[in-house]
Amino acid sequence: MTSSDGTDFELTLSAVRKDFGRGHRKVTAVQPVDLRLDAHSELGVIGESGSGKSTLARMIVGLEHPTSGVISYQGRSVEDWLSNRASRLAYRQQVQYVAQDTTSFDPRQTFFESVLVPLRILRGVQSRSEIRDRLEAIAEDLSLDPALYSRYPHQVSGGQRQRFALARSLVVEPRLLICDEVVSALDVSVQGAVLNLIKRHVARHRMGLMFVAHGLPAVTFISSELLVMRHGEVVERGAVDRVVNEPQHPYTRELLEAYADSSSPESSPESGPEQREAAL
Amino acid sequence: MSWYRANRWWVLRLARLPLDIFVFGTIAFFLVRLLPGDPVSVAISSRSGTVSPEAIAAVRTQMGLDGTVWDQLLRFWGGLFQGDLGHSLVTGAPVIDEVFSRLPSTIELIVLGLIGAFVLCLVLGFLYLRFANRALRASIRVYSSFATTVPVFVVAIFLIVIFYVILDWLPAPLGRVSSGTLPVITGFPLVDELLTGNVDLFGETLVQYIMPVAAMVLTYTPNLLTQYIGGLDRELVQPTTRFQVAAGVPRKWIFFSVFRRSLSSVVVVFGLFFGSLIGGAVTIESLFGFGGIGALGVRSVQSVDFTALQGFLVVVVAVCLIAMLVVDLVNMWLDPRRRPGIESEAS
Amino acid sequence: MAETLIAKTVQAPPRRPARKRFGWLRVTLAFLPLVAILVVALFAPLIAPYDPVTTVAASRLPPSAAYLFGTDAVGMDVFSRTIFGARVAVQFGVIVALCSTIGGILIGTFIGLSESSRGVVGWIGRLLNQISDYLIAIPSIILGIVVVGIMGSSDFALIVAITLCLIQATIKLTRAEVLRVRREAYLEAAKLAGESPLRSALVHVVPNSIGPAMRNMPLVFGNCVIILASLGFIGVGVKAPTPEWGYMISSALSSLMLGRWWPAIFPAIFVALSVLAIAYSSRAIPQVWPYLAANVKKRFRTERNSRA
Repeated sequence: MTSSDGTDFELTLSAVRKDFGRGHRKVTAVQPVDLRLDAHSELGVIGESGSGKSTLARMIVGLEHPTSGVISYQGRSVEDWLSNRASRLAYRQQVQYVAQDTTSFDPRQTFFESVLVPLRILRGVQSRSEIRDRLEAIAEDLSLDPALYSRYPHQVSGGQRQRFALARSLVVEPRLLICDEVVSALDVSVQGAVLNLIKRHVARHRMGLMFVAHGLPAVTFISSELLVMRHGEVVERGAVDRVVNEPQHPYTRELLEAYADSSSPESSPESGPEQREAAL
Repeated sequence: MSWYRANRWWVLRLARLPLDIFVFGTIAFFLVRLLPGDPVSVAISSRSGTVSPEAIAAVRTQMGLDGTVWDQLLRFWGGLFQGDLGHSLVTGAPVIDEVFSRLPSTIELIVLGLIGAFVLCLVLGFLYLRFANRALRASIRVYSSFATTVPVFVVAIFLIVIFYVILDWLPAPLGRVSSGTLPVITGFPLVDELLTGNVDLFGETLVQYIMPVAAMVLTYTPNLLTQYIGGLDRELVQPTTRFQVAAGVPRKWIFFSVFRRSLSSVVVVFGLFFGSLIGGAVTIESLFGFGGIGALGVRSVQSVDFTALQGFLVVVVAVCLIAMLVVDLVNMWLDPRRRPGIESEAS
Repeated sequence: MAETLIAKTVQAPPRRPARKRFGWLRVTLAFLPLVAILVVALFAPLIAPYDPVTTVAASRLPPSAAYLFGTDAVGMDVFSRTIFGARVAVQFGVIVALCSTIGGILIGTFIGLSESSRGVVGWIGRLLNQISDYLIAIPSIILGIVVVGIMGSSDFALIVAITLCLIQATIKLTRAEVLRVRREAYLEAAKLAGESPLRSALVHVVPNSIGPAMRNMPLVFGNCVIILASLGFIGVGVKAPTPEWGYMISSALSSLMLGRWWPAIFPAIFVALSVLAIAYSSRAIPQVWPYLAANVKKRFRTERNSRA
């Protein structure tokens, strides 16, 4: 099962549901949802904060366990993949998750130390010269200055840190990349650059992409298929053009109108005031 | 059911106490069995001549040390539930009596020290709030920074040197009374002397108490004072205070209000340093020849007295746990945010 | 006067003004008391004129030029003994501070990481947490009496006893910090990078959560001096002729009743001074630490750059 043909893969979610808490405090974060992702997917997931879109992404990489339903990768459930060391490492190598960067680097390690870890563990690359080559290649790809590898997280800008977070995931050459709010904390000018890098890299290496964000422009730019979530429920799904041009659900319409009203296509209603200022 | 939900915070806290004492008693039981030496051979060695194995077994049974450790543990648990801690292996007296004949005098000392520290803390807090004198405030701050530093017996030594050796104003620190014996009714020496109408002894004990209590007050006030000053500083800039000033409330009332609101920060530390108060009382008693609970502990360790030591531990810890419980409850009562389970009902 | 007070405090918070101006003078002042004690302890044989454990003169001689602090009941020089007492206190203080900090960090990390996990590990963690909760319920002197009684009177027993009294604070501090670090996103990132839990605990959790425990170390040192002196005072401390302050005070009580104050007062003064000095340093060092760290790092970096 672990073997696959080329870079193709299939990841399916069937009736996956997630509850937090127990008893009268129970909150359903994700209502039962079905989903299928493959090497050609460019799925965008959009919704306001608390809509369950991050939980959905985190369940796929095993950071949360679904309350019910099955997530399976290559026909084998993720739980099974993660149950022993060898297949866990294989799964981690093939499905990578990038979160918002702000604290995702150990403040006491240089980027070099942080980024080489997945390469060593998931790819088994041990020789120092090869590690160096690969890190430089990925930095080149993300237009990062390799000299920054010797810096600590607090010594670089947010955009650079986010690119290092991407580098850490992309360096193991995954088949599916899951981006969770990767551009939300960045300045608008930097957002575009990072989005372009992701799009280019994904296209070049033919990997599947799941892009979770609350900003509509970023999602529509990068994905071809759209999933709109609200209160844990998928309210609308379909091709990006179809959803944007003929929204079916009132919430989607509301969302689109909010963006139509704002003067800049890059700004989003949920982004902080300083971001909106930058956009204006 | 709704009564339970509203009162769960103190019901649960109260229910934990017996459990804690039980668990701790079990720990103490195993702890004392790590003592080197066999109490039976210690007891027999004082007898002359050869001792037959039957006699040893008899002594063992008499001491309650026959059977396996588990048998002893079961008996210990049984006793614990009935409030019986067994008999001392050395004196043969019930441990509970031994402990409670000494505990009250220790508690009396602690209570006097605590009351004194509390009063001094209030006085200094009042001075701190009332007078904006920089030197006064700075000196109160420096004094409060002595918290948990100089041990109480060192302070007592200074007092003895000054007031007994040099000035000779106070009597030598040799026990509670110079002659005669203390009457025993409740176990609290001062209370007993009053109850028996023995005014001479009462005065004598009072004079003897001046130095130890003063040492405790001087040592433990900074603990309360740091919290109190911090509380005063915080409360002064609270919106409540500003509102009162803005609304033209009389100054006296504002002072009183700030004073009262800061008090809750003092209550918090009571529980934290009750243990060090008992420790301090032990050294003070040994210094002034009072012979309280600490002496019992030292004696039972030296004489390999299993039951006395485990009883002593259980009672001391129970006292500390009860003190913590009271402080916890008072805190929760004063500040609902500290009640467990409150946030769950809010969300 | 009261009116000015209210007006003033409402305008400006009465908190001490933020100390922005640090200087090497402040750093020196912060370290000076601690260093002074360490120096006395280190050079005790050079400072003390006599051997601390032999009789050098008649008993209970008052202070004089030859015997600065006089002599005690058996004719030993109180000055020499007091100076050597610093050495004993520092020896115990350093060992206990190291033991309780290292042990506390390890146990605290374990408790913090195992919290809310199921199975055997979770149970062990909860048990350790409960035990450390019970440890504060026992007054440290009582705990000292019992532990020394169980293990017999030896230096090792004393170290174990005092460490048990003091380790609880370090455990709690580390546990709280671990619970904070545990939620950090870099632990998730480490998990996704395939790091094993043990590796990520050692590489990420421990280095990022030892801060409070390290800052607590001078305080542990000070508390150790207090407990050691208290245990010595009630007679379960170090063995007889060793110059330990608490024991010196308690053995000088008979002299004190006779009106000879010097054998008791000088060790008492030294206990008070050393404890106050340690308390002062333990409060001042964290305040100057950022300044010190920044400057040392800057100097180090300029050196490295000039070499490169």
